Amino acid sequence: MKLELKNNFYQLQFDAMASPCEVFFYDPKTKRAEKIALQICEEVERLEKKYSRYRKESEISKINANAGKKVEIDQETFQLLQFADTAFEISLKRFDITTGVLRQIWRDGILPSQEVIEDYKKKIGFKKIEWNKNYIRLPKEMEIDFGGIVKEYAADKVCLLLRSLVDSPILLNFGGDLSSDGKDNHVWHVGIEAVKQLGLAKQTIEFIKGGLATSGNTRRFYEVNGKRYGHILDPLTASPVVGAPLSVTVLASSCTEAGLLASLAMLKAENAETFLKKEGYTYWIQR
Amino acid sequence: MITFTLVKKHQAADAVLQGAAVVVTKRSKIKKTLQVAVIGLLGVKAIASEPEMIEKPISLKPEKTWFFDSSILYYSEPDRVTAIEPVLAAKKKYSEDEILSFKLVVDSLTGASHNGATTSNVAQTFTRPSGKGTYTAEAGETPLDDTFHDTRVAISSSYQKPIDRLRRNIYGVNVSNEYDYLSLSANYMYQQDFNQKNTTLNAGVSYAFDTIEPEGGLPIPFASMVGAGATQPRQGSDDTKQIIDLILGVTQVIDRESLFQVNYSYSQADGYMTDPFKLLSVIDSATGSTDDYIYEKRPDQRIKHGLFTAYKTAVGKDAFEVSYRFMTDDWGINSHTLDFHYTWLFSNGRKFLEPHIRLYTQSKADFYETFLVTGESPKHASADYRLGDMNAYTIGLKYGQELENEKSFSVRLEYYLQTGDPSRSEIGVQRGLDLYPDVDALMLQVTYSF
Repeated sequence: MKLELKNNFYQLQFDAMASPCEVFFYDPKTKRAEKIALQICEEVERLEKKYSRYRKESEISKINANAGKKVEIDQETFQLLQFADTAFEISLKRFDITTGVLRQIWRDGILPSQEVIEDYKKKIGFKKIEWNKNYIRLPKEMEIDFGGIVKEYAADKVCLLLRSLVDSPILLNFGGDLSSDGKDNHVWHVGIEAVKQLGLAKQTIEFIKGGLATSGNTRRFYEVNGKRYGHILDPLTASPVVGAPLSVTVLASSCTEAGLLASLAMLKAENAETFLKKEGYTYWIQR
Repeated sequence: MITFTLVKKHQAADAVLQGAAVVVTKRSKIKKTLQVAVIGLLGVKAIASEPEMIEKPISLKPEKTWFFDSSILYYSEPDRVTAIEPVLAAKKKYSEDEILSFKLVVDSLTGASHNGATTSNVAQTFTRPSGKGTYTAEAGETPLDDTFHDTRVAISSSYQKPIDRLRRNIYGVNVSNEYDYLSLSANYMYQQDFNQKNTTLNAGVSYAFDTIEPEGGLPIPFASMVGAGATQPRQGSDDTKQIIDLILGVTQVIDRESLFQVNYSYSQADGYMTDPFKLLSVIDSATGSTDDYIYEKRPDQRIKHGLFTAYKTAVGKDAFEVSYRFMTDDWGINSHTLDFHYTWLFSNGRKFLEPHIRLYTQSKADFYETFLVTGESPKHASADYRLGDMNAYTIGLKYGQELENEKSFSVRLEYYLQTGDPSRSEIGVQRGLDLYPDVDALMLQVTYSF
């Protein structure tokens, strides 16, 4: 982690959730600034440790490893499940946190047979999992993954945490996902390296408040027999979405909201632009 | 689109009843529901009631996919060779992993280079390779052949295509042509990433087929040089050589700031490798005066093994790189190269200054002799100073700057000094002469990327 005082703001830099993260804030006392920086890193580490599917001891890995059995959950996980449920409903079942298992059959060079796809359709479906504020029980062979929500949620969560610690304008930039509450209407100039998904030619954007999130990695795809399939999986077909944009960036009132809208737009494939326009959001789409 | 839907009375503002047709715009329900859900998730309140950003005229200009580098190199060895080399390279990025590149190099050389004969205490006259005309070296002067005024044009192309996220194939072809030399080659490399892309393995092979057709024909090895106008000792007009190269390497990321690279290379060349324009002086063992000049002869095979390692690391905002290469071959040459670069960034990362130091040392080829002595008849011999015991030092400085619209330029100045030792002691009148003179050169290169 690196903490530097630049242009009247402290800039905290660290790596988390496979992205370079930056946090901007100001506190007149250096010692306090250092403590704040530490608290931020700890909170992000806490979330990554809890929800990363790459870590065997994470809560999410524990839940998935114990499919078939009841696993105790805390309030935070319960709230994320409630959010995932809302997302499932408003997306008309397209945003589904149980689609992770499809990664087992969709890998480079492999086009799964219709049989295998039908088989895996049985292993997805948010409505099949049993959960309440105390525990969760996944049916055997099913898994959940908050990967599509956690990074944006972390940006907002840390934004709120940071606001409770400082009075200055603040900005969170987690690999291009932004969150700020607009204190003093401070204009943050975010450089193009930080928002590279937009594919713009060397520009900075002037961000004041709300959230900005990007879905889609412009260069990730499955390649089978020379044909390219996007990497967003559609639960209704248990296959990659066809015709999805390369990337979608959305501006919303929070990073979490922006992130979900971006994901929903990707799932709308060719209708991504129409969908976002209809819902009244500012967006940038790259095809 | 006309949609029939149940419209509640208090949403009448959104519905216009016009006779039989009902036109309804569905008010955005997602935004409200979602914002409530987010407040529920974050626990207390929203981040911002309404988002705000200054909307500049952001054009969705697609990312640059064609990249060009153009440069001119000016190379000068005082009193010897001068070269001007313009280069144009173009790269098309279809994606992060799929790249097509082209390069055009034009080398224009003038001047003179050492012909292999030793400096003498008397003036020397040599016959040009064509057999017509001569050139001379004064007493005490290194014999330089200024025959060649050559322009070389080389075109190469390479195509990198991903197999999948972790593996890729790279194919390449090259054609290089000068008036007496043609080289055609093709190469292939396979790369694979491991350990979340922290380790990259590469394995490559290349094949080259070269043809040499020197002016005046190929000299008979060890034949004596004869005067201009007389029938020259020649056998055949052209010859060829084939080179196969194999390389196996690993690049390993150590941490976010540094990486390490190791590779092993094997090279086998078969065919004509003698330099048709180079001579050896045959010196009298008692007096040290020149008895004869004969054409050189090199083996028709050369097998090289190389080991290369490099370490690159960030130093704060700057960068440092050190590399070492060891090469050994069956001609008896062993060489070591040590290279240092330090890139110092300033002006917010838009400008840089890069000092460079390179140290090189090599032990001579078994058949290298600064001169032969009358009566000796070795199997192979060459007096080409580039095969001798020598050390070379390069010191350089490069300055670079970013310009608008993703363009940049750089200027590089380097000084090169090569010193070496003759393979044997001076005899008689040779004493006091510099048989293995130092060679130095100045290089200036300007590059413009766009």
